[in-house]
Amino acid sequence: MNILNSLPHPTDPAEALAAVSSLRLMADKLERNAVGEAVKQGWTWAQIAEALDITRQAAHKRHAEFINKKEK
Amino acid sequence: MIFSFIHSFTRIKKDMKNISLLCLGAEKHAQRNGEEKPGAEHFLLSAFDLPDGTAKKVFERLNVDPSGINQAIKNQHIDALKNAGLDDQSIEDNLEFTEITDPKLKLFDTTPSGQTILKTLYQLNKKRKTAFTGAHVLEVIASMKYGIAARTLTAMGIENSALKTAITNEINT
Repeated sequence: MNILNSLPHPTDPAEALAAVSSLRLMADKLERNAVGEAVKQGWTWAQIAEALDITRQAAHKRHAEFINKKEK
Repeated sequence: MIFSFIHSFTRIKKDMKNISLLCLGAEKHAQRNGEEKPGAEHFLLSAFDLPDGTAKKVFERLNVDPSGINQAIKNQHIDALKNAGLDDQSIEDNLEFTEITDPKLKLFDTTPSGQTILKTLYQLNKKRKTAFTGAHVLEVIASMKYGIAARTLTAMGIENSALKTAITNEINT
């Protein structure tokens, strides 16, 4: 399936922007779950940062506390 | 003069208490949905927890059960994601609501839609003589045409004009 063909067209901004908002939320949840899984599998913060193309500090700041608390 | 001062003081005290309950409630609802910052949809949920009970009365006027709001928030996300071409399984797998049970201590913050609600409530409060209620929170949300809260109300089958009428009637009661 070519997802780009099924996305709402920008000429319908209400639908397109609603899709963007929900996709963003879904991406955030997917990122959090995937980082949690990566930590469980022994990835370092440097590796996670590299995969997300963000700095190690940014990756740590965004996820570390949540993951540490989840593991408690 | 002294009575006017006492009235204003009592009202400000009540407003402060309500704003605190509203914000803490919205934050709690956001965390239950796995989100750190509350948005308009979480303020919508929180309006129903305010002790004045006027938000519930507005929904009673519309014959709508407010216990369906959480599911409606999820449903509007599902609809938007299906519209973006995602299948049921992908949505179910990735739109999981994991509650934040132990949030980090930090200053209260909201998403921009949450900020809009607080700013508008503050502006409307300056014009009002009585303390704000849950119905006033709904009044602000009803003025928002787009976004998750607006889509949630639509997903519940609530027409904006009917909601505005019910709010006005409840506020004027």
